[in-house]
Amino acid sequence: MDAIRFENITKTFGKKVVASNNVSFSIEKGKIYSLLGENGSGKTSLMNVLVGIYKQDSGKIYVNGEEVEINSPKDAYKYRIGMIHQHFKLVNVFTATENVLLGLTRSDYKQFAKDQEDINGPLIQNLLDQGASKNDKEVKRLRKEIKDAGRFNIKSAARRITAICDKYGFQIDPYQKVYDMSVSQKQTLEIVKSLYRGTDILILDEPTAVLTPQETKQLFNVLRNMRANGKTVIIITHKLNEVMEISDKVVVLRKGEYAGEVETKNTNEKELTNLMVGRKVDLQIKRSTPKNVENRLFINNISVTNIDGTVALDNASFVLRSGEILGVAGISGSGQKELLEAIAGLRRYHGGDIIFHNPKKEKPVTLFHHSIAKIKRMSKEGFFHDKNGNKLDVSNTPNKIVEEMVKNEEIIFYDDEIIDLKDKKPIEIRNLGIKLSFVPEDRLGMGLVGSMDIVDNMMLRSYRKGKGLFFSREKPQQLAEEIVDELEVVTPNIHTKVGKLSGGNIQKILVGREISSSPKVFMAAYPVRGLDINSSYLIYDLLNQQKERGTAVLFVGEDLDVLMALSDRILVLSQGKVAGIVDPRQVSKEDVGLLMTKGGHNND
Amino acid sequence: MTWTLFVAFLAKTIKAASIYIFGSTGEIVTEKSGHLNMGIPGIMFMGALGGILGENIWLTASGNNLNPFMILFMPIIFAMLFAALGGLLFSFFTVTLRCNHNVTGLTLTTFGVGLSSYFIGLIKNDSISKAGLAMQSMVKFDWGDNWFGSIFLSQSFLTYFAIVVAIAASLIISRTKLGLNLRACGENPAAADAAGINVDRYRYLATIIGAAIAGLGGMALELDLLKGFYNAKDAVDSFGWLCLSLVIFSMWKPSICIGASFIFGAAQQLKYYLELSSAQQQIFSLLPYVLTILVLIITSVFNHKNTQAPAGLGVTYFREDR
Repeated sequence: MDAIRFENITKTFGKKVVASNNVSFSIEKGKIYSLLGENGSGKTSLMNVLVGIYKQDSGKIYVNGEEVEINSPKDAYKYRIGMIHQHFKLVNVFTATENVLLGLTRSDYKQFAKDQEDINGPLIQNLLDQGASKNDKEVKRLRKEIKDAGRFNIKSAARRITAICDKYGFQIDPYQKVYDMSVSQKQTLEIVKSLYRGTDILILDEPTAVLTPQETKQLFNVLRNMRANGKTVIIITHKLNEVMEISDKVVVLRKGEYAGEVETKNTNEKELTNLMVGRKVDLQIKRSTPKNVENRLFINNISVTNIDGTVALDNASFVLRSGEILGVAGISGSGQKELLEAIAGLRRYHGGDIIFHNPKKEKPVTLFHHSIAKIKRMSKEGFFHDKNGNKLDVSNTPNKIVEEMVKNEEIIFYDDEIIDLKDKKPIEIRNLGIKLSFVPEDRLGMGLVGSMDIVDNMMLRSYRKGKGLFFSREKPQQLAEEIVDELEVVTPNIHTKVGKLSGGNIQKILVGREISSSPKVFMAAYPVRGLDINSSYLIYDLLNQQKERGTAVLFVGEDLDVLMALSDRILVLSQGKVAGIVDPRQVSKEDVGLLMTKGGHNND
Repeated sequence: MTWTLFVAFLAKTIKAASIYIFGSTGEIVTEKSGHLNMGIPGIMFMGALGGILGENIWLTASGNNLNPFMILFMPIIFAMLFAALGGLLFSFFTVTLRCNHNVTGLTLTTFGVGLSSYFIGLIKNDSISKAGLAMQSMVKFDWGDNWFGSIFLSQSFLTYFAIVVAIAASLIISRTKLGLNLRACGENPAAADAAGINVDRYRYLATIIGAAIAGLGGMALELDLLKGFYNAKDAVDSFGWLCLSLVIFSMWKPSICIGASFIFGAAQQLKYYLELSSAQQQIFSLLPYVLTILVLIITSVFNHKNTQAPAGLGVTYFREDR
């Protein structure tokens, strides 16, 4: 029997954005389904319609064969449908139990009492049959349990939570506050919350995006336990390997429309991709041979210590070269973030230094980076030559003449400029062409402002360039249009607030803006996190383009397969230490994996 | 200060404290739902207006009948009604029209003070003081022969009522299902919504009930503490705004707010019992604010999550917003 049936569901936002277009399919009971689709294909919107967060414009929903009207998450619970959102809906200052009890109504408690009676009733009868008196301790306890289940009582609720955890194999302390929990614990709590309300159909929105591989494995075990208990599970995802691993059936959505449905055992990743994108997709990542390789950035023995005294980065040294992609591999939290922030000047480091070789050889000096006084000082130390290649010393020349000479491009660098980044401010480092495109766990946390539109977000980087009192909006506007166009950003227009866009599109805007300034060093951390296949490959292409135009690219990635295919060298971090720098053409994935955990073994 | 004067000072402190308790308990109930209602001073004044009107209506209608129940009942009901209207106005603007909380609140304060001043100005001065005297004469429990009696047992009904209201609010907020749901609305409205709680309804009701409680504070101020003497500016400065800072001072807990109100009450009354120049009086008026700043500093240094403002305070919630 079908647990759920969608019939011609259509949901639009405003007039232009169609989230779901005439979608019909059914979900069988007691199976694990994957809902697969690219960013913006309407997976989450469709499920939000199912749990009553959105209301469909037209179409019908059937639960267990009956047509239902679901207007709020409360209604959804009535039909035993629960959804775990990507952003957890938990109250931080509450304990696990308080969060579970949130919003329960009298009828819920009645139901709990009834459920508990179904379990305890026969037990009591059994005891009485065996000749126990009505005032027997055990009989009284069982009676009290039924009573407690039917009312607001933190202690008995905590006991019920522990029972649910034991049944499905979770681990949760009912009295722990949410702000003390890890991401995976929070997710577990969300699932427990749903099961506590007697959910039979559980929807999970990209549950693995925030989990480590081990936590993912645990989650999948729990989901299998739930299936064994007759529950129906729907996972929204775009990670194909997980689809193959966990689900029984896959439903594919494409641009808001139903694209097809397959049994997982009868399909493969390639077929699913084609179904998802709607055309044949080449899953090969191209890797060109590096050209014009020069040492660009020297990281010498730097260490970073966190506020709480733990060492985040321990004596790291390596060289970043132009024209190549240096991949950074490591278990999350091995010091990747700290490394990038140290280079960008956002975090203090100690021990060594970071030296930047600015490619200036045979290029005239400009007033953009150097003051007249500095040029005079440098010329004394022999940094420059004139047009004929003769040594040039302007230290005793009047400032006006020096300025004239600079304008006429008569002062030329002998060699690359060597700059110690240690005492530079982040803005100075940026102006040198070292760009950081950091995609932290919270996409909007760093780099973009959600409540501003795309153009204004472009201006965050260029507001200093305006002439006089006012700034010009023309160039940022052009840039915004280019990025939207080239990176296929799905947005009503460039004046849409960034916070209203989907995660993938936000990332494209961030990466696009940083690349647009033609950096000399480009650092990207998790640029494809949360992106679908198509968008991910677009980003990989962008990184390759940067490499080909001679940028030194530092790429922190999660997916080892991608790192192996894209990088020219891989730097492996393990517990803040550089465990090794390897050539991905010559080592296997397993070798890199071994290096990733090496630091841990040393410490044991 | 003589012993008699000191006893009188303490008794007055408790009376002044009751006003703070009403005002800040009302605001705590409101803020727990996520509404930052800065209109509390205005709402307290609407309560005062309601109280004066209610008492006058009864006295006129009954020909100065000093029936103890009605003398209390009429101003209380009217004060709560008038103040609740202010709360309703605030909720309508912030929930239904999704206006900014700060702007709405500040406007409401200006509106409430102006409105009340105008109408109270229309009422004859002697009828206001008659109302105050009526309240005075009937609500006093007179058991005070010794110092204990004069301080603790001779307060007006409203003072005891304030403490009862604060304790009840504290219990409801921390111990009951209702309180749990209410706090969730203030901490994380999206989570509350997903759990099936009607956030809008909770916010509306909490704001209206909170305003009604705060309105009692305004009434107690006019009819009980000031005995029918009306001075808008002083009252707003030394009671209205301080009720808002008391909320921070008591770390959003009505139980703490009772004790904190006594401290504020003492700080407010002390200047009348010491022989001070007017400059010194001004400095004494600063005392509660200095205390609030100190508490702010201390709580942010320790930065414990249980002593902070509700996380969703001042944020309008709309379900389809991302």
